[in-house]
Amino acid sequence: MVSDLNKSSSTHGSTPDQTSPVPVSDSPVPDAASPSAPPSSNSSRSASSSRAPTAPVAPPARALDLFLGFLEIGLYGFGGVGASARYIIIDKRRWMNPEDYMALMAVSQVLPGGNIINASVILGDRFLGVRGALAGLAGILLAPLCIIALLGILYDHFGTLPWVQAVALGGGAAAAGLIIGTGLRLGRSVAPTLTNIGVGLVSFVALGLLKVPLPIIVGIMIPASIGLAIWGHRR
Amino acid sequence: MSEDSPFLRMAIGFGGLSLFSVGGALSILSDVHKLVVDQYHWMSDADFVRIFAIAQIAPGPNMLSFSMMGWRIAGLAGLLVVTLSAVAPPTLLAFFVGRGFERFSHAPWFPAVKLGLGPLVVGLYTASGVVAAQAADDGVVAVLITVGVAAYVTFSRRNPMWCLLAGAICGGLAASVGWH
Repeated sequence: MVSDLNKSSSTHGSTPDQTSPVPVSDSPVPDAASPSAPPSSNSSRSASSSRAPTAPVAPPARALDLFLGFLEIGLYGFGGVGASARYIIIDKRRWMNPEDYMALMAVSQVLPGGNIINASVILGDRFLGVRGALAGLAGILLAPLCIIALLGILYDHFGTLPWVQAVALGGGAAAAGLIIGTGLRLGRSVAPTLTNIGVGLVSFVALGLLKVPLPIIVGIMIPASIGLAIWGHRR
Repeated sequence: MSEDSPFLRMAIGFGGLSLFSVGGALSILSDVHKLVVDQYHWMSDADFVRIFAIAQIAPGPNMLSFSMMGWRIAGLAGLLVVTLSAVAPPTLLAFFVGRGFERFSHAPWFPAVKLGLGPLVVGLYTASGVVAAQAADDGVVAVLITVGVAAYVTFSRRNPMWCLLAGAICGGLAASVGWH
């Protein structure tokens, strides 16, 4: 689970000439921010009282702790903040046990918006009220925003250089593949029932091919999909 | 602020879409593309994918990719306006829903909600990826990079950031030898 922490050293190194984009990393990383966690996470909540955590949980005492913790999550979150959030909140700072974390992430994922951004607000509020929520939010946003601004300045200055454009466009092609892969990867954790395949295909075709505005898709598909899930649950 | 102020348009556009970001920021990427490229012509197709790619390499939440687009549109003020409008609406919702957290996550209907959102998010993510690919893939090399990374991310658990770097290097090398 430690994942993201030991790899930035080789980031700028010499990636060999590759015809297919095979990464050179040796750091395994769990799913970054998976909106639909496997069904097992639903049942694990009920076990929260019976299974004791391996080490005592130490909730953040000050808003500053929350700020610094989420600052770390933001800075370690290369390639997605899902893995670093888990590491910092459960393993390093021990704010929560894994069961509570699962429940927190489940709610954060069901709501619109960034999962970890939502989690920072809910977790902060839970421990220290409004102050905690603001501290968590500031922590998760501050460092990445500064880096984004820096990259924006660099892009303004060097973005017209042909080699920068070629490299960034290659990165863009990879980013597109990353999004498709993230979606397909999530699809592997969804039960391949007829209704699930139908919902996935309809929303894919509507957004990707027919260019239906997202609010319309979401407005129709959320009630439909949840309704079908409840109906399937009852049968 | 006048009707056609770009800041007002950014605030309304990103703020409205943010409330529909089911499963995270990637769901709205396709509609953000429509907003910043097709509707308001704030940037070109190529600019859009380059900025998204660069922002993806930076650490932090995906939502902040849009902040870099804000920077491109209107500098620091654009970055702040886009960030605030993309983050504030879902965050406020999360704050108030979070107060009912215990009841909410233990409610009998909650597993059904999660199960129902799963396939929808799969459809929206893959569709957003295809829209991004249409903007990014200007030749055979780019298509190969997209397909390769998609396959790799689908089946590997390793950090996806390396795919972005590998794709960038492949793009640079291919351009330097004149491949397209």
